[in-house]
Amino acid sequence: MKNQTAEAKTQTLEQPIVRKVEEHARLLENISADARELANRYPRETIVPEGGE
Amino acid sequence: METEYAIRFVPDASVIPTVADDCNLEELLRLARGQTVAHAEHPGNDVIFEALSKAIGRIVATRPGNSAYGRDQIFTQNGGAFYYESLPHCPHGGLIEGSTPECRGPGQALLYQRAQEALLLEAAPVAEQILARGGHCGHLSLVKNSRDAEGNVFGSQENYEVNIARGPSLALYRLGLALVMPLLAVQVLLTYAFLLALIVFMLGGVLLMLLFPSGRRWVDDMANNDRKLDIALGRFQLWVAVISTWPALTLHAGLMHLFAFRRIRRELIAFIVSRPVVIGTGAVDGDHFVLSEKAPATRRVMRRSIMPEDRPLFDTGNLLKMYGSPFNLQWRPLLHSFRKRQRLQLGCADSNRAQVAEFLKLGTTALILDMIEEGFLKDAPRPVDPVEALHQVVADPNLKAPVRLRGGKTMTALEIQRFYLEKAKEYLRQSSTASVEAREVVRLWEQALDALDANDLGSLVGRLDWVTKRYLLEQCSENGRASSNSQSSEEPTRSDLLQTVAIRYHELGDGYFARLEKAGETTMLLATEEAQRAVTEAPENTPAFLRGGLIRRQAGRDVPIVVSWDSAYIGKRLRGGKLIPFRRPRR
Repeated sequence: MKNQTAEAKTQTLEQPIVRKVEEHARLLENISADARELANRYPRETIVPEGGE
Repeated sequence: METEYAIRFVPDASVIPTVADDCNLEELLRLARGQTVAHAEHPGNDVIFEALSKAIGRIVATRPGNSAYGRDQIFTQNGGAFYYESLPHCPHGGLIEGSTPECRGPGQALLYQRAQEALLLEAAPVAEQILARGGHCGHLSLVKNSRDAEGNVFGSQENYEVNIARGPSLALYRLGLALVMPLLAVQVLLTYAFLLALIVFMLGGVLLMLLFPSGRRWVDDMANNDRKLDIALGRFQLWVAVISTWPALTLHAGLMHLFAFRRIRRELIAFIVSRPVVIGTGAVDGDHFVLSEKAPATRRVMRRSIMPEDRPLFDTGNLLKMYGSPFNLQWRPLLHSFRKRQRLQLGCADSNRAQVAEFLKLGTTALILDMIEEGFLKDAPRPVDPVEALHQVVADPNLKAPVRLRGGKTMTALEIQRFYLEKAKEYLRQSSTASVEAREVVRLWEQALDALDANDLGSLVGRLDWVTKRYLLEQCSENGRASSNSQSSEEPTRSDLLQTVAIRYHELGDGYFARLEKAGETTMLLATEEAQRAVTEAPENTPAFLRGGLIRRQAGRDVPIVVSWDSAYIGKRLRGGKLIPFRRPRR
């Protein structure tokens, strides 16, 4: 019984951390996908074509 | 603080303009006819800035500025300003420069920097609609970075009010300046005489060309092509300005080398050279990662000319700007150049996205300047060749590059930063009036240096820009490799992918740092609501408070008013107008 309670507690503590890690991985995956798509569409993007400040 | 934002506009016919209260007849007719197809061409950044200025004016009260390029500057009700920064020979390829109002400390400056970004973010979709109604449908975004994929450099500049010199140095500087002024007057007169002769000569030339068919075609081509004419006139204006002001400007620059900010240059230089390890935003240079976007392009310690390629550590461009155009010389800036308290402009700083990095950039520099003014840093290390040292520091993301110092010693950038940190701690211990803000700066600074020393970079993701950007570059590179192994579709080259990540990291609103921020993965020092409040309220006890109040009070009134950093002119010139100076609080 004691063991079961300890296990449940660990799970409660771990869940937010696991969720956070998963969310972080998803965010990175989204950023990577966005960057790949943009890099394909606009390779060598210059933004300021005629020179800077 | 001044920050230059790159403009990204992607024409897109699917952006549909809607009717707004202030649509003019032409726009309404175009909308009624369903003419919503985008122009195939980019409208030009000057047109985009105009739309953005209108959009800002719908959100807060604004008034036009009295600058060298008057119509291209607006002041807002919080006392800050927006300016269209372009070179005379490429008027359509400029940047948007945002200036915060004058602030009393680093926390306040950070607040107003964020307020500026919040205002631009709110204005961008409104500007998109204004552009669409004018026939330019597309997506507009602003990028707070310091260089593009081709290596063009721009970025941010910090300004601190300090003594330009003291005692005999100040007297000699003022004397030298007084001797330069008559020369400047002669130069301006000669320039006008030269221009008059040139206009007569050119008119004669054009009349002669009209006699021949090929000449007529050239004249027609120039007359029908606004952009070509703009570029040609811009180049001409730049060269006239450079040649006509060169002697006086060179003398003034020489005076500054001899007398201006001498102690600061001596005691601050090692700090400036080493601070990219904390405040750099990181960049991809070929296949290498470097700590700073702007630092590799730095060429000298102090500015020698008004040409943009000069790129110095200590940018005295603000003091030399009055020579920029012989057609727009004003007596006020000339008089102000004799003041003891002047604006020290630091040219070598990246545009930060991380709040901690930006706060440290402003806070550590302001603290060190206070220490120098109180004679607390006489034993500061001095690099043998500051520009070379800066290039070596930023080229080494492992933070081991040795900086050669006078006296034969070497130190790494981290060791130099640690020297200044320890001196700052000692200074605060001895000071009876040290602010809580200064103590917070030192606490965050020490935390960052400890983590860098221990190579605990994970704890700095979301706090320091170069660490965060490098982390994203590594992750995207890794994911890109996995994706190219598993898919047969065309994948971008590694170099294109990294450059895209490095630039889009800085985009306001939907950029990669902004995404991390929204996900709560960065350290925020300010609440979003605080920045929103600062969009409409000017900082107290500053000239900006007077300026902002005036702009707010004049909102909706049909009285002409032209604003500048030190005064405003209400009413029509020569017809009973009134000049209102914004007095600076006494130090």
